[in-house]
Amino acid sequence: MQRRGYLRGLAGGGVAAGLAGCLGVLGGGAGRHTYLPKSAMAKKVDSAALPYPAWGQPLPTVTLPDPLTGDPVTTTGFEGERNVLLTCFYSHCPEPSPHNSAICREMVGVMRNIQADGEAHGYGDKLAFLAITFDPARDTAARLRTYAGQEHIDLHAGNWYFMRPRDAQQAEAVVDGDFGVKFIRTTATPATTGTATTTTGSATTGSTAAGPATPPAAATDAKTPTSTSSPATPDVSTAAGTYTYQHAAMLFLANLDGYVERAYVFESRGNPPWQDRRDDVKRLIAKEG
Amino acid sequence: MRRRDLLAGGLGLAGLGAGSWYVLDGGRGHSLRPVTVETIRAAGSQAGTMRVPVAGRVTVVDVFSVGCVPCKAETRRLAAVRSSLGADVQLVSVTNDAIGGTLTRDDVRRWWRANDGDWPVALDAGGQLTRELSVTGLPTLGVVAPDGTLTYRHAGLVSTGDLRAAVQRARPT
Repeated sequence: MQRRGYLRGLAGGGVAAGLAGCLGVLGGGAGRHTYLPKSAMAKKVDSAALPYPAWGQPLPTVTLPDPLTGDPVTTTGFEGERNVLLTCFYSHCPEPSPHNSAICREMVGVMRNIQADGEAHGYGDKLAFLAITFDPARDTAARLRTYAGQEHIDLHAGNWYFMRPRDAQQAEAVVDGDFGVKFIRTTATPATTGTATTTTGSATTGSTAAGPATPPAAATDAKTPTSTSSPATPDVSTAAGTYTYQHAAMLFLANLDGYVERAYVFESRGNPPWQDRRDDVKRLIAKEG
Repeated sequence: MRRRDLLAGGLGLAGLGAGSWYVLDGGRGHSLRPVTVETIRAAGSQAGTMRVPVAGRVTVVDVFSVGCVPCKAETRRLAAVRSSLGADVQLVSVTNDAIGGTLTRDDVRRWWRANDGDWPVALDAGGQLTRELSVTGLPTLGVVAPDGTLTYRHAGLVSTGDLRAAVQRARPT
C-alpha cells in the first residue's frame, strides 16, 4: 500500500533530520496531516524516532478478519468517514492484583467508555473502534463475544471491530511489526514465591513509569520486567490456558485522513481518566468539521 | 530498520510485574470545586442530583467503575465501616463509567446491590468530579472537610483505620 511504502521509506532512510519537515514536525499548531497540535509528550520526541506510529504518521494499513462477522476489516478502510481508535490487547488479561497492573483492561475500558459516550452524545458514527488481539489462539469468536458482554462493549452500534490474526506469527507481524506494540508470552505469576520478586520489579517499573511526561522511548528498559518475573515463573504454570503476556499498552487515535493524532502510552499506573481521551476525540471531530 | 528493532531498546512493557495500578500521591489540601452529579435510584439512593462535596458536612467521595475489580471490595468495605463514621458524614459513591451502549443504570444498580452499596450512588460520565479528585486509578476515595477542602485522597483499596482517621481529621476542631 502506498502509505506504508512511504512510511517504510522514512524509517529506513536514515536521514531523519532532512525528513522532519515532510512529517510536519514543526512544533506549535496542527501539522500537515493532523488536526490536533502535538500533545505535551509528543513535543519532546520526533515521531520518526518512535517504534510505533505517532503524531503525524500514517496509521499502518492492516487487513484482518473480524471473527464475529467473518468480514475483513482494514485499519485504513474508514478514511473519509470515521476516525479510528485502535488498540492491541488480549481478552485473558488477568484481573488486577498486587503483582499485576492489568492495564490491558484499561485500554479497552477507555474505548468502551468513549463508545458509550459517543452513542449518548451523537458522535459515535464518527468513530471506528478497532481491537486487535495478539492472542488469536484463545481469542476466538465465541470468547470475544463473551468478553464484549463482560466489558459492556456494544457490538450492535456498528462501530466496534475485533481483528484477529490467523496465528501467532501473523500476530507478531502485525501487532509488533506494524504497530510497534511489543508483547511477550509468559506464564502466570504464582502468588507465593513470585510475590517478592515481582514486587521488586514493580517498584522499579512503577518509579520509572511514574513520570507521565517522559518520552516513552526513553522511559523504561524493556528488559526489566521480563528479567525480574522470569525467575518466578515455574514450569508448572505453563499448562494450556494459563499463560499471560507482558506487553506494551497503547491506544492510537487516527483522523479521518488516516493519520495518527495521538499515540497514548499506558503506564502501569497513574493514567489519565478516559474522559481526557474522549476530549481529544471530540476536539478532533470538531476541528475536522 | 524495522519497528521491532527500534522497540527492543525502547518502550517499556506492561503487564505482569508492573505492580498495582494505584497511585498514592498527593492532591490533597486544595479546595474541591463543587460538582453536581446525577444520583440514581438504587439501594439507599434516590434518583435526583447531589452537589458534591456537600457544603457544611464531611463528605466521603468514592469513585468506582463497575468494571473495576478492586472497587467491589472497596464498596463492601465502605458498607461495613459506614455506620461507624458518624451521622455528620455524607458518603457518596460515583461511577466513572459512561452509561450507554450495553451499560445501563440497571447494571449499576445490580452491581451496587451485589456489593452491599446502601447510600447515594451517582454518575460522573462527564468526568468533572473525576478531574477534581485527580483520579488516575480506581477506586479513588476522597474526604472533604465541611469548608470544601480535600483533606484526604487515596487511590486503591482504602484501609478502614485510615478512613476513620481521615474523617476525624476533616471535622472542624
